[in-house]
Amino acid sequence: MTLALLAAAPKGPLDTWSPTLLALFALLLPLIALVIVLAFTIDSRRVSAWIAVVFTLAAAVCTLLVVAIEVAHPLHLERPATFLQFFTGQSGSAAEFTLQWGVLADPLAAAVSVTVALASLLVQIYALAFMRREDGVVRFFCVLLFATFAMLGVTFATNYFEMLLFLGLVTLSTYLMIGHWWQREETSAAASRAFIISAIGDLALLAAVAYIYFRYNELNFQALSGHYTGGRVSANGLFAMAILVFIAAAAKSAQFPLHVWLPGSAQAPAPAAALIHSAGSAICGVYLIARAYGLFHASPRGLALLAIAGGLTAVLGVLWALFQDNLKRAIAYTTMSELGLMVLALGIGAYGASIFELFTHAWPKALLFLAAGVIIRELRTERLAEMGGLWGRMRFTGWLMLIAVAAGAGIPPFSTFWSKDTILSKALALGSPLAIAVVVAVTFFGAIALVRIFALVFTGETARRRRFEPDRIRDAGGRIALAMAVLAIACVVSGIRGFRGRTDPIAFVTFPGVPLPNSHYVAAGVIAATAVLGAVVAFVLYARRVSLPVALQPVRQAMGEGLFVDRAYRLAAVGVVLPLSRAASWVETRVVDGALDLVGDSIAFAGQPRRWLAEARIRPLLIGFFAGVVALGTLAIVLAGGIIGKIG
Amino acid sequence: MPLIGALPQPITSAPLVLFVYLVLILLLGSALASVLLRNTVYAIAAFAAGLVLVALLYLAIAPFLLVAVQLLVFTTVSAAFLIGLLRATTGLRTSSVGRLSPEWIVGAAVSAVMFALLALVLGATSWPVQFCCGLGAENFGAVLGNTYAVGLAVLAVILGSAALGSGLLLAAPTLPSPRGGGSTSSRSPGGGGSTTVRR
Amino acid sequence: MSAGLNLILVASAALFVVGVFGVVARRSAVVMLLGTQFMFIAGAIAFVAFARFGLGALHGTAGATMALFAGAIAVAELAVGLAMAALVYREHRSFALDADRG
Repeated sequence: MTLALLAAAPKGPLDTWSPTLLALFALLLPLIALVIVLAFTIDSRRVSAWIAVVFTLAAAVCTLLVVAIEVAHPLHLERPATFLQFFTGQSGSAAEFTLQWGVLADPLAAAVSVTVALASLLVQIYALAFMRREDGVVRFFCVLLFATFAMLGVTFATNYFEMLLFLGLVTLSTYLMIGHWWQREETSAAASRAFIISAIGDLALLAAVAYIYFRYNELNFQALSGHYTGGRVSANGLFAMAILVFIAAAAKSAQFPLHVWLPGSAQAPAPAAALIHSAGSAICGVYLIARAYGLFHASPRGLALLAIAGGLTAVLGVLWALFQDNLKRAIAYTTMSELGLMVLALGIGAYGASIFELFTHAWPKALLFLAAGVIIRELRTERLAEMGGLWGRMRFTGWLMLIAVAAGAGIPPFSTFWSKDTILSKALALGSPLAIAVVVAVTFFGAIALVRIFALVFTGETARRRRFEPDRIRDAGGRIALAMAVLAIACVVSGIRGFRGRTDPIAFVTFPGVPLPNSHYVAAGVIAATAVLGAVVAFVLYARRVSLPVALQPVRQAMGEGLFVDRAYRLAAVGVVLPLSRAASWVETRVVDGALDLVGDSIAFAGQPRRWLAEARIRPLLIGFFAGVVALGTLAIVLAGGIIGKIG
Repeated sequence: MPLIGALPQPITSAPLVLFVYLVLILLLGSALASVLLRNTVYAIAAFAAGLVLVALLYLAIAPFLLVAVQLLVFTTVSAAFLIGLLRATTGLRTSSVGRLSPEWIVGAAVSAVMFALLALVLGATSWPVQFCCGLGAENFGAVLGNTYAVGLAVLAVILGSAALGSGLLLAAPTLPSPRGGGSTSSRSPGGGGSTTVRR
Repeated sequence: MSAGLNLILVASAALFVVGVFGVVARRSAVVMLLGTQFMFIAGAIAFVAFARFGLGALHGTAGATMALFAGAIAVAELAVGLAMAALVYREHRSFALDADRG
């Protein structure tokens, strides 16, 4: 095994620094921090937390530098840096395949890595104050560092196998984050559910990796990018690969049939939930599709699958979000719809727009969760029905949440307006009425869902509850407020494009062969109008607490339960998996263990000393042994000599 | 016997030849000493000297890594084991163990027959046959790491266990005897001498 | 005067039979184990000799690798054998493996 580290570039301006080296630093810094915390400072909460923040800050700086370099050199295609190479064989076909682990710093990775690193940094700053009096603070920060490392690894992965490994780490980190308060039963159940579904995705990706390797003998993204259209694999084969990759992405990004873990992620502490939804597992799936986009681009049916599944997810998510009573679950369902929108954008060919949406959506979503954390803590309830009237009491949080809601809804000039505008432009350019309708509908209902949350929380009167005094509510301050304020600023500025002299952020992330959408003024206007209309409708409905007619209450409950998909899964698990598990367990205890016991018993039986062996004399045995060797050797030589004599 | 390829390349530089001869003679001498000496401690010393001489032989005809491993690992670990065992059992005394017995004659006979057989094999196969090709000077370390990586890993585990075991044995107190007395240093020399000769 | 394959092979054979003698003729368990060690070493030297001088030269490192592995196996076997010798000692207070006792 040889270890090859790319030589460090000399310090200098943006022209000479190597983005891959910076990406490597960004990747390793959270891991180093994790090791330091686990090894040295595990007993000190403050020091561990500050180490985590400082190292994540360094990692964020590295990712920003990577982006800066990529922006300064838009045509610079970086070769991936390999830091570990396993030679899998000395000769034959095994020697031609070397498993490489490294970092790839291209514009796509740079854009997403900035999202991950900055979101993680802000969440950690928030958690410094938010989790101060909790149990398990050090564990929390360790898990956040681990999650940051895993997600940066996914972002910088150079080949499918490395991505598979890091997605497995993301699965684990999601489980750890959701299950932080594992003593609660619903939390541990939610964490297990998230783990199982993510693991299903990892299995699908493993199958995809095996299939891709089997057909192409290559796993590297850059090397494969030209192979998909070569015609070596049939259209059906490409579609099969696309399906497998899509299943993996769907499990991670909560697309329709595999979305059931996302509402459960609301069980996580607010900073962890913010990280998962804005820059965590949720975006890993979209990123996987973006990395494997060559595959989807070569398979039109794959793209159609993306579009259909994404659209379905987006619509369902936003509809379910309208009927949630739990604040964090409501926000979680809006995330589901936004993820569906991203996948839909990839499906209709708006590659840059989808990544742009990923970037702009992260900030409002994180801010929503962080604000929700503050609100829930102050109000000591998670139910929207018991909230209200906070505008007077928590003005600062209110303004921040207003910005977040506006940004998430797509109201200009906040962040997601710009990205949704480009998605709609692409849909208009394609001329597909279904896509246009879906995007518009999702924007409309998404605005309603988010403003509903805002209205229910901040307007009206606080519901009276036992042992709760509304006058003791305090607004957020200190580091919490700082983190949220930075996010709010990001919500405002992160989408703005088209200013004179600035590069269009969409053009930054491109896929060869996929044309950039021109921004239609029509699209911009439609999005703006839809979002504002939705906001107004929601405000009117929910500020006045207009309640649903009684006849529609069952609908409300059905929607609130996510159309019982979760229950269907549970029934399937109980009905199908449990008997299978029992049968397997019977086989293991009776058959497998029985066979092993048999072997062990027979060896023990054979090992018992027998009388003749105990009474044997060693010297004669040895002499006999060597005499036998001599005899056999002589015989062999005679025979060999005879044979050789016949030949030679 | 068919000719396969080029001539073998024996060592011809005189000092090196003398060196090889010397090492081989000393090696045989130490081996004989090791099996003939009645004092176990001296036998072990001869054995260790033999291993060092083998390392010197490897210096002439084998990659240096092998020399280093032989010297640093095998010799030290084997010697440590043996010394440790002696410390734990009889103690490092220099009294003799065992006496000349008729079995030695039988043993010598068997050895002589076996040597004759091996010499016959050598004579019949090595002289007329020319072996192939020049010396491939591959990088031993790289080959170990690539082709024999698995074997190397297993070997490392085995050697590590052996080193650990020898260290433990050296550090452990002496074995408790079933007939009383822990440390052998408390036994009287007279009693030690009389109980070791048995039939 | 040259030192070639045959010299080392003869030496290896001689070393081997010295080891055989040690195993067959001596009574002490420790010395018998030393004999087995010499047998291993003889084999290893033969491998190295072939690798250096003759047939194995095509894969020169294979012979050295074999010597390395043989040495390691010898050490492992020594460990196990010495453990058994220690047990014998504990039982009978000497290393002698007497023919009568077995």
